[in-house]
Amino acid sequence: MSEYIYEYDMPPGRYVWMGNTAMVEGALAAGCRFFAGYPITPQNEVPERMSQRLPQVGGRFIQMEDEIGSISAVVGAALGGLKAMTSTSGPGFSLMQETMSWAAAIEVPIVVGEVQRTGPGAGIVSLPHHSDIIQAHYGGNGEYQVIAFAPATSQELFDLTIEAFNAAETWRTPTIIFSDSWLGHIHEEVKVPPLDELKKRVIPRKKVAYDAEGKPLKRQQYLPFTMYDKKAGEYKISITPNITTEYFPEWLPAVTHTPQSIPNEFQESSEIMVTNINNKILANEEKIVKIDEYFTDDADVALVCYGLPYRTALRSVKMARADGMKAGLFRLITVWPFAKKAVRELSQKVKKILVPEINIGQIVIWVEAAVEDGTEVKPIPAISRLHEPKELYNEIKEALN
Amino acid sequence: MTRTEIKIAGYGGQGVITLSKMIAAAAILHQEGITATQTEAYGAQARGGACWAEVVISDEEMIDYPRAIVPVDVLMVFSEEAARNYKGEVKKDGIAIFDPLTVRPRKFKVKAKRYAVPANQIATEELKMPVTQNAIMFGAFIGITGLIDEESGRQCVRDFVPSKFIDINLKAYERGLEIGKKLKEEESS
Amino acid sequence: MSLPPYTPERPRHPYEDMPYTGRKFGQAFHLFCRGCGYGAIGQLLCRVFKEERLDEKKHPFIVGVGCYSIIPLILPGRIWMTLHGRTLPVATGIKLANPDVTPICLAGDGDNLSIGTNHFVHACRRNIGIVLIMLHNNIYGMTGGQAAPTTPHGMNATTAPYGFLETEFDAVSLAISAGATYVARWTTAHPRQFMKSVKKAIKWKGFAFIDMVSQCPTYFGRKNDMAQPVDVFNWIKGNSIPINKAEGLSPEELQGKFIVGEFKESPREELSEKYIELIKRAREKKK
Ligand SMILES: Cc1ncc(C[n+]2csc(CCOP(=O)(O)OP(=O)(O)O)c2C)c(N)n1
Ligand code: SF4
Repeated sequence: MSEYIYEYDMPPGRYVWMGNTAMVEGALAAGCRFFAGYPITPQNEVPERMSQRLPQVGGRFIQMEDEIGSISAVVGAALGGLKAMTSTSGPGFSLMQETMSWAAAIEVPIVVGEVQRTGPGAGIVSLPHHSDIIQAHYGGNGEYQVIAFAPATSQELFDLTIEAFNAAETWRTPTIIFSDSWLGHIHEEVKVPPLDELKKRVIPRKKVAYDAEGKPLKRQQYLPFTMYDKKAGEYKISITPNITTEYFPEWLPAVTHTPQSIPNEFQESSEIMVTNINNKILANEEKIVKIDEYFTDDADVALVCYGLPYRTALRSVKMARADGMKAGLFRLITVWPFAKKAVRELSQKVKKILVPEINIGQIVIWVEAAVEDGTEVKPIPAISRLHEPKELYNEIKEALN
Repeated sequence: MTRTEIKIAGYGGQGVITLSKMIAAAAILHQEGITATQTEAYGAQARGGACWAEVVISDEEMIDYPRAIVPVDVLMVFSEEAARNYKGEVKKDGIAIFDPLTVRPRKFKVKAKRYAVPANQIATEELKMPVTQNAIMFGAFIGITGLIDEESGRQCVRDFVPSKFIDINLKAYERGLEIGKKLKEEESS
Repeated sequence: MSLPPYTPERPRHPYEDMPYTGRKFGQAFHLFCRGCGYGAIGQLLCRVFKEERLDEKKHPFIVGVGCYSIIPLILPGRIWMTLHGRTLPVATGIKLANPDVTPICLAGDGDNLSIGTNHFVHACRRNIGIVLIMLHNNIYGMTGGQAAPTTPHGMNATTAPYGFLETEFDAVSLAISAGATYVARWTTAHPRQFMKSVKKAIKWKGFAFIDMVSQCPTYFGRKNDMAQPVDVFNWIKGNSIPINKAEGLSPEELQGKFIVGEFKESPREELSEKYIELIKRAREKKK
């Protein structure tokens, strides 16, 4: 198998890529060598380009019969030893939820590109709408964590897709890239760095597990799932199982299991499993979460946003600053896990927080729950459209009065 | 911090999207120091419906708000419907470009400086190849606005058209450039 | 290991803890009901595995959700239990990623013909190198005896108390028309033939489908006046007709019968191998 897998081959330089293309190239640069998908607008350019590009680097592409099949094949390929991803939009994302929950339970590193469109129902395919932010986290059955990135430019779709694969490899949980129908079709500059530079950024799939002394683990010693190490006080995440190597349990169940991969029905097992798969993410919030802040140090009002609205907000904040208003911008690069601590710290600095989102307000609930000192939180919803810079500027002005 | 906001509108199939992509690509790939962002009415391009595209050209490292901020600096319209819808969205000292074959001048009354580029007519009558109207418009855009170097534009045309049609499209581009520059001169004199 | 293994959704059966050939976790029992065909099928697969000296890394078992999900207690090798109905797409991912691996899928009739039918027909069409053994017990065992797409017309189930109104699925014709290249049907009354078939399927290049009729005495038997496990077994045995004998019979005569035998053996290019060719072509073209 591996003799057919080749290195990333895009010559370094400047490219004009649509968002969807940048996502594909980012994935390939990150070492993604398997893609299964099903056509749904506005993500169609992703499978189209994947079908062309994957064979060129020795990867496998398959168009499945539906989204359930797609994500299941991705899970299969992921434990078959390849870095794998799928992409979809709203309705397809809903179909994937059962499998996402399962992938989280058996800790499979998979990446899902979510090029969101308007909903509910079939909605409108051509308008942007961040409609599935909460679904991504809470859409599946059971309690689990996902990691979700929210890029805002083509360049970020390239860079953060690499990050998403790294996060999936490190934390072994489904990782989502939030795009939308406009971001997916924006044409912008993408700089592709040289291969050796890219390689330094990529966390490869680990094939062999080692013990503390650096000796390869025997099959019996290998723990397929995350375990809490009481002495060290941290979660030990072992390497991803591979069905073609030593490192695969005798029985990998879909049901509740122990870290040794023994399925059972004890309350204790459930408690251990649910705690482990959630806390390995939550306890490491600071390592996983990525944020960016602009002018927040002396700000009285801050905008909290993710994805495309961050670009609008940046413009509005610059406009406000030019007019002498103390406005700041706090950007969630990762939406999930939610940056509770960072938002709490922000709320101690500012008096008011505005949350512009391209939906009726999904993350604002989390912001409200995280703030302290009675900081006021105000949602600024926009339905199936981008806010205008003037609009947010006026909101800032109003908030400061 | 300088942004140039460009809006192009017409019907799907008139080359609105291609033109916008050419402008963006020329700015990004062939010209140092500036970058661009192109957005479009996604889904409409092939269906003959109303269609628009926007390009923001800037010398910033990253373009923040990706859409053209109204009022725009450059407005190009290829249909009367587009003219009606967007004529109020161009700056007073901005540039308004239209094709007199598809937009009657009296239907496109704007405060901005107005330039009539007969791209369709030249493409069909002179060059005998209607699709070259895109390259003509592109050349005229560069001639009028001066936002992009002429040589960058030439390279961009080479990238965009199939190798068989490079010569005719370059010819079209030069014609457009010529018209654009002439209109500009007439304006200033 | 002191932890008892996972038990299925259905209530515990009084005979459940009968000793059997369990080999995992040091336990000497399986969890199927008394007389269930699954135990025997597990045994037969064990024997195939041993006799063929199969490499567990090359032939992982991909198991769906149903009573048979606890078959790992018997089976050798490595077992990956997937979600209800999703064995085939998962195996598709494995196979495409590793063309030298041939996954063996175990799916129930509900698994494969209801929730996962879409995957089934498309796997047949793609002719991807997977072995699918469908455990056909005419009922949903795990959830408590509800009607399955294979429940014969007129027979009872917990959701068909007045007799099943619909017509049952014929998985074999479905697989043939969808394009599977190896198709066979056997029952628990044909253990030797089944083993031979499995051996053939494992070496088969392409999608191999075996419809394995099995008895569910606990639900199918009790609901349909077959009190003893052996009654269901005999019902299956009595209703099976070898394929060569079935040829001369009319559709009426074949109503409710299990035609057994090998239905199709026509090789066609296998998908994952074709894909390797495609990779070579794509790289050639790029140069
Ligand atoms: C999505 C989903 N729906 C329903 C179920 C519940 N469920 C578990 S097993 C099963 C039926 C299994 O029947 P079959 O495949 O015939 O296997 P058997 O138990 O008869 O061996 C169902 C409906 C489930 N696990 N997942
Ligand atoms: S319920 Fe039926 S199929 Fe399930 S173990 Fe019992 S007899 Fe077997």
